[in-house]
Amino acid sequence: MLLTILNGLTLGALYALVALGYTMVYGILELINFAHGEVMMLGAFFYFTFLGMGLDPLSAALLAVASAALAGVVIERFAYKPFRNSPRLAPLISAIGVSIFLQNLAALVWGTRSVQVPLPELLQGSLFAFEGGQISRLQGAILATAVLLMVALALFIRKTRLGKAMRATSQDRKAAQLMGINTDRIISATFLIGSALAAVGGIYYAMYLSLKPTMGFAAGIKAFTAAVLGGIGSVPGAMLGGFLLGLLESVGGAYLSTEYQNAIAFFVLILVLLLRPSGLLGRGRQEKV
Amino acid sequence: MMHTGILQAKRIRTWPWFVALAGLLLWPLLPGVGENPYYLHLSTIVCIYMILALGLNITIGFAGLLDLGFAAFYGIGAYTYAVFATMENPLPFWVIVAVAVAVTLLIRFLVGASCLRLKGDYLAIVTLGFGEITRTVINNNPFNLTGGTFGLSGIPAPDLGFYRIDPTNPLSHYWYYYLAAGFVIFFVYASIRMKYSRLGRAWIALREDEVAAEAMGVDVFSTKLYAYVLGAVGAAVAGCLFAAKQRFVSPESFAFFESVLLVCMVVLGGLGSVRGALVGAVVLILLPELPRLFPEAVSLLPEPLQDMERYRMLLFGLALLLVMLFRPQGLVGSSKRYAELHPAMERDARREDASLDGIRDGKERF
Repeated sequence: MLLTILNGLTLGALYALVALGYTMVYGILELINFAHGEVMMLGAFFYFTFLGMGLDPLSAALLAVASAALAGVVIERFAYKPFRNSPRLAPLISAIGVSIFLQNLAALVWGTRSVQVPLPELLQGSLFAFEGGQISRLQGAILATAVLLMVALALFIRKTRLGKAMRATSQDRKAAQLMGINTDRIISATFLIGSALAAVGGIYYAMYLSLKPTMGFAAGIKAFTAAVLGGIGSVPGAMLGGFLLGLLESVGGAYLSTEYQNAIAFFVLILVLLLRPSGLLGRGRQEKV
Repeated sequence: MMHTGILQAKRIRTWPWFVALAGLLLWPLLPGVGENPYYLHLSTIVCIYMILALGLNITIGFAGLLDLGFAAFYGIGAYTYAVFATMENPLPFWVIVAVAVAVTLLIRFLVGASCLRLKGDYLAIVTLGFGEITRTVINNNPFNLTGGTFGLSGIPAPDLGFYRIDPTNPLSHYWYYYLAAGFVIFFVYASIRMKYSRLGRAWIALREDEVAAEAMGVDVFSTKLYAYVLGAVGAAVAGCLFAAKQRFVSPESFAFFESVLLVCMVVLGGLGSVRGALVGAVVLILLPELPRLFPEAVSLLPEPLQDMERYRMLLFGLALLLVMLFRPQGLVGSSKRYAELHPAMERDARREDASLDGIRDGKERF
């Protein structure tokens, strides 16, 4: 049981990292970034490629995170920004288009089969053994990185000037603009940070499970569920939602067939949206008219 | 003719529709077409997708509800048909179609009634989730009904009441084609009638501005529910035709990819445009078939581009983005739709920002 919980928490940490990007973008643009899961997948494939080019794991990871963050900003610029004031349907369709495009581009470049990503030496082996199981170093690293990044993000949003500008933009974009905030730049920064976090999640996800072009879509839906469960738009909510969903999947997986296990996220998503659309920590949002 | 009245009232030219109707009916009789079973088969598949696209166009195009799980209902229709047709004493074709439509609409109603209070983005993702759940359930062979991943085979050819289609007879291709074409005509007619009905105008009002529509007395929830449920009639009928023609159904035919393909058809043709849905279905079904249809022409293309099947999804994704960016009214949509979807408003909004007067900018606040 302890092992199941531990596995669930690790999975949850990965979901939470990706969920943060959904929640930040939604908080500001009220747009579901359908291509976010693909950014996560790209981050992992970039890492895999840089590793193959002979870089050491740390610089490969840093470079991959930077490239994926850039990809996120470029996606925003070309696929979402032109639709800032269009009806909702337009950015939604373009976002799905980008997601499908990137997924199939990755399949063409890296193939459709799942690839094994080698573990760096530092993360091999066990960190801590106890009766009936162990924490691997990888699991330890995932949990530590996730918690560290989340704390850093929370502090960033709360304490820095840019964080303050982000909060202002998410509260009222027009008013923020009148106060002299360059909201377009804030939106770019949001995509940059969210995509970087997703790439970190993606790299760990590839090490922990596997790497293939469709992984971003599947993990993206789950991360999105985590964001909704915690309350979309709320940063602590995304973390809580991620951990909860990971636990739920891991515990549920002990009783269900793998195929139904993958459907857990959808059931959770639908139930939360129907029963408590504002999520666990989210405030009920007044519809902006 | 009585039924052209509504078209004339809206100043819609009717003659292109009659040309299209004649084309649809005479197509298999053209020299070289009818003799080739592959052409007739492909034409029937195009008709089935036209019906699907017309159905989805009601939900996405007329009412603006993005449905990413439409293929699930296509699947429910097909599986209902398959289950009833493989019983020991199968009912006649028309009765099974009626049952399949009823089953599909019932499920669609239950899903819609619970999800349609959600906003657009959420609705999209919930419909996606529902589609995946449906596929998972079908894959797991509930009550031994669906045959799991293997699907259901040995579906008998349809008994039309006056005639039982004999699949060994070469004429059966004509029967399938005209059966599907007949439904296309029905759905085109029904779509046009609906678009200009009171309900259709309510859908369009809702799509453009939900708050304004509600203020004008449109019941938002029930109007959306009509659009969501009625769209699935096409899915159910197309599912029946597919199952009756292929005589085999399996879960892969109704995966998420299929939903995306259908959304592409509607968007590419032109959101809310009836002829757009038809054009979208023709283009997207024929595109991957081009190497087989015109082997000489395609072999002139550079080597990596010849394998259309491989690039199909990549191109679809790109097409969705490019169409929304540069031609939001689709290939054949009206210019009015362009004005509605085009972000030209952005320029006005910016001008108002410059004068620090955001109050008149109705899109953002107030």
